[in-house]
Amino acid sequence: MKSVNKMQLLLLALFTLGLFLAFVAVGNEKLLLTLVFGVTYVVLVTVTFLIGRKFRLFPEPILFIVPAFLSGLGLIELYALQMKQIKGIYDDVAFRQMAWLAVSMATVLVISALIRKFNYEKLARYKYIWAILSMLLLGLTIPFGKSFGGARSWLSFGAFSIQPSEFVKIFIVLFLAGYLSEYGQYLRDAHPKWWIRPFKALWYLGPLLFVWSLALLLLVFQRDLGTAVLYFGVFLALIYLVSGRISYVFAGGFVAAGGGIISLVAFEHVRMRVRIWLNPWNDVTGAGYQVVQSLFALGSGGILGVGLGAGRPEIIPSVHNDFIIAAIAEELGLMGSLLVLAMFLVLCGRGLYVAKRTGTVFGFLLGSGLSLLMAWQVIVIVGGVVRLFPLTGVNLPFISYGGSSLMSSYATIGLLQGMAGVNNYYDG
Amino acid sequence: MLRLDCFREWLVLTTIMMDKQLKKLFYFTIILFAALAVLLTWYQFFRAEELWAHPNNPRRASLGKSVLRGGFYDRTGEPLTVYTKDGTGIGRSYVLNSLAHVIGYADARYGTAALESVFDSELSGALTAIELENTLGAAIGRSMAGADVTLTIDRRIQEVAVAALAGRRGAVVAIDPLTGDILAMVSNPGFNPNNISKDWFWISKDQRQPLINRAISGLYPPGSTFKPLIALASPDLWNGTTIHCGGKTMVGGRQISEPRMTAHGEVDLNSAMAVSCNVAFVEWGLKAGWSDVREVCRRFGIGEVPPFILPLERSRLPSGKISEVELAETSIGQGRLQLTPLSMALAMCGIANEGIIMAPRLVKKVSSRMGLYEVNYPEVVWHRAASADLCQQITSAMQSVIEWGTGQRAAIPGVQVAGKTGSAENPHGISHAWFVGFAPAEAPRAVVAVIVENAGSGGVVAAPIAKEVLQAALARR
Repeated sequence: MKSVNKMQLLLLALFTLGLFLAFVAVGNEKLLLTLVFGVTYVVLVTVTFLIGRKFRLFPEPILFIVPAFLSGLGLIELYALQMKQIKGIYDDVAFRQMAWLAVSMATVLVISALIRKFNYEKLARYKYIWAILSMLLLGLTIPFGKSFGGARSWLSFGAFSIQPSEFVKIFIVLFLAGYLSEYGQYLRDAHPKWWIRPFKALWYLGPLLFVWSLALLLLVFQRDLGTAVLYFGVFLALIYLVSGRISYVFAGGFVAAGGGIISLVAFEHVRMRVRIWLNPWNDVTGAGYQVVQSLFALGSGGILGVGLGAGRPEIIPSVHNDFIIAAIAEELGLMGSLLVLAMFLVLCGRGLYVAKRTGTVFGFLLGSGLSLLMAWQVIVIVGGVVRLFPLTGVNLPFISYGGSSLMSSYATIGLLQGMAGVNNYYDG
Repeated sequence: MLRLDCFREWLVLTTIMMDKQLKKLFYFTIILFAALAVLLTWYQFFRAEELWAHPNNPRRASLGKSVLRGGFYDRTGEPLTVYTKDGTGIGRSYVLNSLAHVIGYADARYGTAALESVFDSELSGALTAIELENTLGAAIGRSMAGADVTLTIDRRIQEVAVAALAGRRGAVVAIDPLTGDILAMVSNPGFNPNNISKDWFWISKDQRQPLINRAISGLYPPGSTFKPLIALASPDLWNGTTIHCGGKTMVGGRQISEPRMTAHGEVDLNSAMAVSCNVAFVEWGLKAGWSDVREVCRRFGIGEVPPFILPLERSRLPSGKISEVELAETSIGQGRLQLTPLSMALAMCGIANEGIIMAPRLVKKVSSRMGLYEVNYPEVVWHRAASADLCQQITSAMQSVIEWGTGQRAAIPGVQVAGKTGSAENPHGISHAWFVGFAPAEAPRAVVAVIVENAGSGGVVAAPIAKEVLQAALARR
């Protein structure tokens, strides 16, 4: 156990024990059940961490401890919701989430081990496989898709459903990174004039644009606008990274603005969202209900919050996925919500650090693509809740309820851990 | 081999270069996170209080389920809300649907309205004094409760008014002119405050607007009920003289006529008021001039927001320059003039109470169960509108209306009633039926204003309603 640093263990112990006590505070009416639940979480996270350190699968401990803490926070909120015993949707959310967390823990270990064993550079070779897989997964939702909460983005298999766009997120970054690491060199000097450059570059970007715009179209078809915006953002970020030319970002911005205007004209549901964004107070009990109620949750939380389990987050429709940040803000106050933001920023920064240290173009693009995607997803959903942008329903990584979201978030962590391990630049 | 070297060089160069871009992207991310933090602080710190106290925030309405929400009582102490034990705890329901506009509702989803909203902190026990009382009370084993609100409404008069209006669209306001107490306030159509969450969809979409309190927010042309105010503006013109009514008169090229062109012959103030002679009041209004008419309105509080505990509409006077034709129309309560039933009733209070108008009072007292918190709402003079002598003269003219004029259906055996009928033309169909009045004429105890929308003649439709309400008000203890 030499590889297990005492400080790291102490950090993990502090986090998990704190969360364990929080569990007890939330569910003290059913103490035995709560104790079992809390212990399950602590054991699950600790065992995974120890295994990971033992087999050198977690060269970046921060990249495991922080997500594990965020997941614990999410579990507590879900457990508090479940404890309220509202008939229907919250019946067993916390138990299901715990099961998904167990699967995710296995996922992060397996992916990190695989990446470490087989050099991740090989992933670049299969870039078209990732592209086809993305298309397939998204395409399947057209004939077989089920819609929950407005977006038609779920595939249902009997007892459980998966949300393909959560996994496609990773495949898309793999494809973009693979493609750009090979052809990206042509982008920088496609043409000396900046306003011609993007058009000239279309030549090199052909297959990429084809795949990517198809993905976007599928998302628009599914009304999953938040995810579409994320894909677009990461696409521009990677092109900017590889070319160093801001002109591509502007060109992409133009396209996005055009797309935005077209969808404003074409889709009533888009106009509705913009109206709610601009003034949710116009229709407090109708269309603006969800946003207004989440603002009430924020305001009622104040600086220190009302305490875990003491708030009324269940008033907000779908608080367990899109609006979980409002529940945290109400119960833990501004301190809690800012802490969550800070942790995501730490995650993103550490992920970018891993990307930088890989020393290859593909590793660089893959690592930073994954890290930025995670951070920007936080911006899209929290920004929607605090009315920085119109609200688009995406999950808060690691915290929101949902197996697909949890698994894909931990798969990202697995990839980053694996990449950090390959070059052995860090082995504390 | 050479190509591979080139590629390798490109790789090295690119990773160094990408470092710069990556820093920029990270800064960009940090800036957006900072924006999120600023907005979170904005909502969770700077606007926290306001958001928490918002009437649509159900957290307030259901503050601590252990605190029983306070109740409402009428002026005699009769409960207007009752508590019932249901499966999960103690529920509170409203006794009278007709008070939905006055008391309002407190719902988990739709928030609070009317007095439930105004006194939310008191009712829910959130005020420090009530909290303290509850903490002390809990120590000696008492259950925790919010403060109770005692209204000036008399439950019996309210019920009589509801029955008399009989579901027709309109409003009734009854006031005690000596104190300004609102004895009854009905607005039709209404809604059931006990079913607000179930009915909301229909209530909020209903074209007839059942959520609006017509008694304080409905704006109507006053029609002939405005004539007493014209009389107040022109005492020198009618004092000891008569006017000849030939059934019609020409003003600025426009003909203003009596209903069915009835010529009233020689009329003085009493007979002009009794038969509601348009020709006479147009003549007096025109001769008195707009500035005098406006001055009387101002002194009677028309066009001003009365000091009232609920938000309400301000009555509207014609603004800016006014033509001769328009002044003639205003003199018979038409044109751009728009009044609320409350405003009309308050003006009548001035005539009834020798020129003194008391501020309308809806709440007598708010007090906690053990009395640590208690607020009594005093009687306040709002306006000194006219001399007692002049008011006396107008009152006797309005008595003629009941004795032998258009308002005979409001007569109460053995009681002197003063009043005025009105049939206000409006763009929504047949006339609105108006009646305003008070009784007993020599020492008024109740003023009433009645409007029934698009119901025809005030003397036929509104006067009998007023009679029943006045009778009930006079019979009160």
